[in-house]
Amino acid sequence: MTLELKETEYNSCLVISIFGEVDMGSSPQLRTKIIRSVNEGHVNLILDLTSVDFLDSAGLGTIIGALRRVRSQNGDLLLVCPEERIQSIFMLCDLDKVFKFYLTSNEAVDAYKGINSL
Amino acid sequence: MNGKDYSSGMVELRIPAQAEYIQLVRTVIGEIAAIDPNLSLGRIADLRLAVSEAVTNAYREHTRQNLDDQIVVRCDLTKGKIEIEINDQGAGFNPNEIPDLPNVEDPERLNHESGVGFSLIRELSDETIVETGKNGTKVRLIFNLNNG
Repeated sequence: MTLELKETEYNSCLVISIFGEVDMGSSPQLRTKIIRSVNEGHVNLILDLTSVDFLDSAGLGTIIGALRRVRSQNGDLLLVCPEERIQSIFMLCDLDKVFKFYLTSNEAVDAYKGINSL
Repeated sequence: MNGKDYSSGMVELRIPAQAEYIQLVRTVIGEIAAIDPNLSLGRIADLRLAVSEAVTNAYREHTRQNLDDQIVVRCDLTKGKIEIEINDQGAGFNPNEIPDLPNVEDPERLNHESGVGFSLIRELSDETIVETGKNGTKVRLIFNLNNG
């Protein structure tokens, strides 16, 4: 199983849009993409989960690892997650207190613009 | 259709301990659950997630022990409930001895990328029964069909 990953670069951040099911089989692909992006200097990331059909604890773990990586480089990770079903998985693990959620990628990009203009 | 008896509806899947098969299992089990109209789409999604977590645990155990054995999943759609049984051949574990994760507000929490799978299973299933020993672990997940 492979994910479709699309990236869109802005001045302030990089958006990685994820299409498909994120589980034990596919999360290594996402992890590799995130590590590569951080190594290329993209420490302000947005993961767009709008088109994620399924997310389990392996996927959550990959996203937790992404947050740790960007924060260690003084960056941040924002999530675009309009689907209640996916957001509820974060809530079940109390991780909604750790991540910042946005309904659209534009809102998340705007949030970075606000941060960077301070 | 309410309370229909699917007593002959046992399905058994035998899969290699490879991560690529986890999606197949949850898809098949989700389709079986959808046969009964009393389980809502939300509960079917819960069931798919719980099954995926349990099969992932079995996969991890077989990988850790370098086992070639297949993982066996049985799904029984009977009157009033759907019961899924996930069998692995690993060394077993005590579900009561799973270490607690740091509080989410503790920065140390970000160093733990795993450890929530079993709590998700317990949270999502109406009942979770674990039988474990040196010769493997059997996890039974029960979803009541009249539970939304």
